[in-house]
Amino acid sequence: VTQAAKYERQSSTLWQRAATRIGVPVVLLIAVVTALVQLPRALRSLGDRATRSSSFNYDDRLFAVGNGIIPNKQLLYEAKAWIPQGSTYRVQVGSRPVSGAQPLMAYAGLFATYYLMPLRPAPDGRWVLCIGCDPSSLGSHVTTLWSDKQGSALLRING
Amino acid sequence: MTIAAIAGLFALNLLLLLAGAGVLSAARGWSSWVEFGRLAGLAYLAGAATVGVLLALELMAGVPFGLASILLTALGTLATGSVVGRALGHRLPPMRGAATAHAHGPFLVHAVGMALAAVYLEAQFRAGRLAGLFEWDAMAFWIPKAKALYYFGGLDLEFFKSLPGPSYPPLVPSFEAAAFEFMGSTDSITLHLFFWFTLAGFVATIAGVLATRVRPLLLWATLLFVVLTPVIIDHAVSALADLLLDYFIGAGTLMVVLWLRERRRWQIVLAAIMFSGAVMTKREGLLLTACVVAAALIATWSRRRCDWPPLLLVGALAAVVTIPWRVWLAANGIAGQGPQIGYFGFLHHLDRAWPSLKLTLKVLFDGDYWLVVPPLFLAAIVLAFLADSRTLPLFGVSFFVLATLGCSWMTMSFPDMPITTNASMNPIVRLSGGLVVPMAGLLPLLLERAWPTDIRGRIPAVLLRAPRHQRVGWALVAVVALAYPLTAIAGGAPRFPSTAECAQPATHDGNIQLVFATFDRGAPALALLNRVRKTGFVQAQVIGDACGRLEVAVPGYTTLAGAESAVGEARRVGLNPTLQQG
Repeated sequence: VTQAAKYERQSSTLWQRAATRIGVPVVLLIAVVTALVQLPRALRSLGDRATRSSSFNYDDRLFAVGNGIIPNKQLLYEAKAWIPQGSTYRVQVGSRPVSGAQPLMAYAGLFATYYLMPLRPAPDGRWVLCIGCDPSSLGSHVTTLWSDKQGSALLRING
Repeated sequence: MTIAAIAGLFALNLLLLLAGAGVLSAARGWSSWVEFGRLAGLAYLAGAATVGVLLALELMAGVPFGLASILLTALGTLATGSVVGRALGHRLPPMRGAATAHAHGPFLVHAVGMALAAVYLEAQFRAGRLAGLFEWDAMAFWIPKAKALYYFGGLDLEFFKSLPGPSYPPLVPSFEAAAFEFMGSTDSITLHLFFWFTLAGFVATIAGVLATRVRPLLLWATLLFVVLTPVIIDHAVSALADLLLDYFIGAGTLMVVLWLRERRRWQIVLAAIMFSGAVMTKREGLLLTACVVAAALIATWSRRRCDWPPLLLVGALAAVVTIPWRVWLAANGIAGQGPQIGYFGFLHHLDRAWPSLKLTLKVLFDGDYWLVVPPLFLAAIVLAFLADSRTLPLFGVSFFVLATLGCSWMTMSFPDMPITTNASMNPIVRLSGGLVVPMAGLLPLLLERAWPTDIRGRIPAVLLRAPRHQRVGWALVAVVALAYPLTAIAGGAPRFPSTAECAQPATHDGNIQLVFATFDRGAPALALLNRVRKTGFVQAQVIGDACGRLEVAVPGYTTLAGAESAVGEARRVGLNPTLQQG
């Protein structure tokens, strides 16, 4: 029994040694080859990304993800320029048709929060970023500071 | 987007390195400056974890956030660490002291690895420098939270409560706000480079810590293999918390496995620090830390009497660090950190168990995200077992199984979450990084354990005969590292966009504006608008530009000649407009 166990252990050791002698170089080879194939790919892909980023305008780059949310980015430029510090604003996305409507338009408020900080959003904000909304629903004391023909407007509720 | 902003980020990250030097001094010290250079990555990550956790705790305690609090926290960490280190006998070495521990193997292989890593990091830097903010979570809550810290000097309840992800700890927003402070503005473009520093820090950590423990070919091949996976290539400079979390978990895991082998106190101390950073980075940090600690407990079952107390202490410390944040959340009526259905709510959704596990395995093994890193990791575990190693492979397999189950538990615990790899609906791809990124440190260690002692004769002789003289190696690194930027510059000098781009002089036909003046405020713009309209330019209007300024302008000129004739008319009535491309 002892000799059988000894033989079994020896053969197991031989088998293990053979497996590691083959396995380790194979694993290493796969890692080396993968890394060497991936590096040029990565450099190409990152280089393309850098070139693409470099070709953007100043505002395109800042607006970035907002392009898929806000139908007309001029609305936020106007808001940034007009709304004074300390005032609050709200974003109203209505059901009226908006030309250039974006699939993620429902998140306009989220993007406006990011873009317009330190301005604070508030449900009763005097300044209204209206996207396809009905200005008459805001009352009669509303001044339109800017609007486009596609359904976006910057409004101020007076009084 | 300016050189000044990039310089500001360099300064901030240098500060984190200095703070980390203090941590390293207290934990272990260094016997030569060469050794400190080798461990600079580890020091940087330790500094980032420490300063990040302290800044987050200060915010919860109501300490005003600003340049002063950042500097005091970082320099305080450096000073405290240095004092503790001195008390523990960790003296600074002389400037020209000799290195006591040399890098393993031929330096030329290290040099090739460093050169390739440098080129890759340079490419990441170039891609990140002008990257637009396309990351949804960054737009939705990470950066707004950071802006809130920057503008309002603390945890502004209105924003921290109303933004998505209100229960995420404030470490990443603290870093981003610190970056804004150092850059001098809320430059969410250059901010991407902050995350480049963390990638560089992680690569330097793995390389520096393992250089004296693992054959250079094993080290660099596996390290590059992991950092060149598609997820890391695509997201390394994304302004998101996921990879930072993975780096902390990766570095902490490396410290734990080294402690399992070497039993040095500094290793377990640094593991605790890294995991503290991880749990304050994202909620998932606690889950991944628990997986690492549990795997270490399993791997040390036979020595549980002496090994378990320190390991349990590491886990407990990481859990304790989250308590102030939980208290702050509860005090401000914000829902807790766990899943909506509770930690054990998944038991009511067992029908999602197999699909969730299958999803995790798909992400790990289908190659689109992590190439063949997980399969090779499992192969390395088997090889290490075959080479009669026990603790490390047992840790590896336990960690793999627990973290895989942990990732699946996340999908199970949010019943509304679709079972998909679509990153906008299920975070599984990003979460799996917490399992794969630590493999950058585990893979070389496992292969080193499995490395047959008689394989040396099969290594190409040229590698062993390669000159050990470090100057040759460093020259190679310098040449290769310079080649990439020089090639990039050959294609055109780097651009540094500025607000000047909001006003481009008209040079050609098509969409030209006649701009009378630009204002920062509305009242003077309206006054000029009235004056301009009275002079006959009735189509004049106030137009907001991308830089947040107001232009009094007449848009809609299509030819340069027509617009120039309008300039002449305006000058005749005492106005002095310019022409800008719309």
